[in-house]
Amino acid sequence: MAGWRKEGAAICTLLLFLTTANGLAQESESSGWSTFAGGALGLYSSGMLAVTGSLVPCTQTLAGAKCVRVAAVAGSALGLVSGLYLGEASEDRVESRLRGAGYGLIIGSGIGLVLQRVVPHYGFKDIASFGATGAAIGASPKGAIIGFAAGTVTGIALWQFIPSFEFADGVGLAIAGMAVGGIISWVVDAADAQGAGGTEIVLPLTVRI
Amino acid sequence: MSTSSRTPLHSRFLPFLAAAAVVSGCNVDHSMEPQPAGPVCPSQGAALGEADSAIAWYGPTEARDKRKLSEWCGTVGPSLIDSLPAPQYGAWTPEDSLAIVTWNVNVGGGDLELFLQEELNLDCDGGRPLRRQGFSHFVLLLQEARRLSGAIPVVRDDRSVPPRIEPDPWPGEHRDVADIARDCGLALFYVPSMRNGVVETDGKREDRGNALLSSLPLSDFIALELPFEGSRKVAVAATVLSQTGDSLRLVNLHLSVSSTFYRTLMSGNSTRLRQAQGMTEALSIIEAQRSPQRVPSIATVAGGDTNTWSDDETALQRLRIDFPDSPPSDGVTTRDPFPTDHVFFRQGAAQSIELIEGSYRTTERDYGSDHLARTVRLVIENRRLGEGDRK
Repeated sequence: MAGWRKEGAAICTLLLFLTTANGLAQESESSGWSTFAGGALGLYSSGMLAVTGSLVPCTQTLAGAKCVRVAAVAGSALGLVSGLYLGEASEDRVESRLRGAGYGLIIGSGIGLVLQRVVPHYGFKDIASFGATGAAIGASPKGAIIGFAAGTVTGIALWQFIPSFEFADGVGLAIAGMAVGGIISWVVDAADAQGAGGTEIVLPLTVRI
Repeated sequence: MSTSSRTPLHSRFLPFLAAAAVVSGCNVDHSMEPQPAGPVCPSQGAALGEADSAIAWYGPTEARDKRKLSEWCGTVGPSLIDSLPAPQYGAWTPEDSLAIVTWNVNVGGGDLELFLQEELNLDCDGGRPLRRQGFSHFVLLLQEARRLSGAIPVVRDDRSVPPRIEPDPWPGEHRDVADIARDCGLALFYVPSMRNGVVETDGKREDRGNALLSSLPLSDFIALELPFEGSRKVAVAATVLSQTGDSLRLVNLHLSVSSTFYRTLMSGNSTRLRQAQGMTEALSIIEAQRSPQRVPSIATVAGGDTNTWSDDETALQRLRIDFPDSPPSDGVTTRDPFPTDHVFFRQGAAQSIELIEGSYRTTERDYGSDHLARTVRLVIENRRLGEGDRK
């Protein structure tokens, strides 16, 4: 129990540092609904992606669920900061991501509904979980798809050529790639939108399809 | 909409961030406790058999686990105990090694009689067990063992019944684990975990679970209902004694292959970790109750189908810490590309039983199952004997 408190205190300190730094930058700016929505969606999408992406890699470590927790907080914090910047700079981009989240919610729920028919003991909570994951991916589709593709290709190659690299490592890499790609797209988009006069900032990791 | 100047915008998100930390991976409690003894499902529910009264039951403390386990338990038949093997097997002496074999038999798909013949030099043909040259004592830890019985209840609500596993192809006479144990003169401890579908044949229904089959007498019967994930899993444990009075506890383990997607997210993918830790915690409770001065007191082998995707899974890493004398991890895949089957060992305070170095191996054939078996050999430590004196 004491360990939990210590861990919680450390996490909260980290979050306060991250959010205060961002907040100071935001206070002088006008804050509309898009800033709030951008922050909320960034937090949700990146947090959910971080959880999903860390599930397999983290359960290859002794830390297990603690590692997932740390990833969730780090992803959420990064998404929150990026989302706030993005929302402050561009209402359109936030709207676009919200639409994507809506589509993702529908597609994810549809997949969940199909699986619920065929997988024993899946219920409403599982349909909702697929919907929630779909929404997180849908809010950041390009980055998630690119990341997934890159992770899958790398995972297959490593699985084939490195004997100690197991099948599970390959699957983990594909899903983690999706998560990292999705989260990076928030950061890149925020930096892009904050660029002076709408000039696009092309970071080395930006890939256009 | 404008943000209040008194409340910085970022501070509104702090509760959500805190929630993200709390929600992800929070549902990993694996606490275990003794369950009421008696011929009923351990939590509550349907009547079982007399053998169940002789079993010390342990189960999770969480209310959700209890409820689910109780629902599933109500669909299975009674446990089976036949503690004494045929007398011709004799005692486990310091000259003899003991083979511990773990094998998921895929509900009878694995040809157990052929396995006994080829791998353990025991011919059960005709109901008269014949020990062939090279035979040594063994305990088989079987997962997905199938039992066919009219004592398995008719189920009105099949929500707690998993789909039937029917091996394909399924050669042979389709005899269940109780028949094979009887014909081979082996001691048997079988505890069903779940039904094998709702199919009924000649008034008999099927359940499946973990079984111990032994050429040595079994005692001290324990059943550990593991924390509920995708389905009910019951680890079974019993003890064998050597001629010199050394005890060895054997734990047969089968962890869930997956949980629901919701629980996977909420538990941080701790499905198998939660069950593995539930097992080790229950063993710790048992040992503390029985020998509070010397924990862990008894040499213990835990083996089974852990359903792990990788050799580095958290559950396996934890088990290797809890069983420090385990054979070294070898990454051998026993079901397609997955290293699912493992054996763990700890000597306990007595330090009188030890693992034969290099004896941990995997069978070359699957005998019709979807898993390969794993074997390890143990000996009673006796410095007067050289390795060459042992079978």
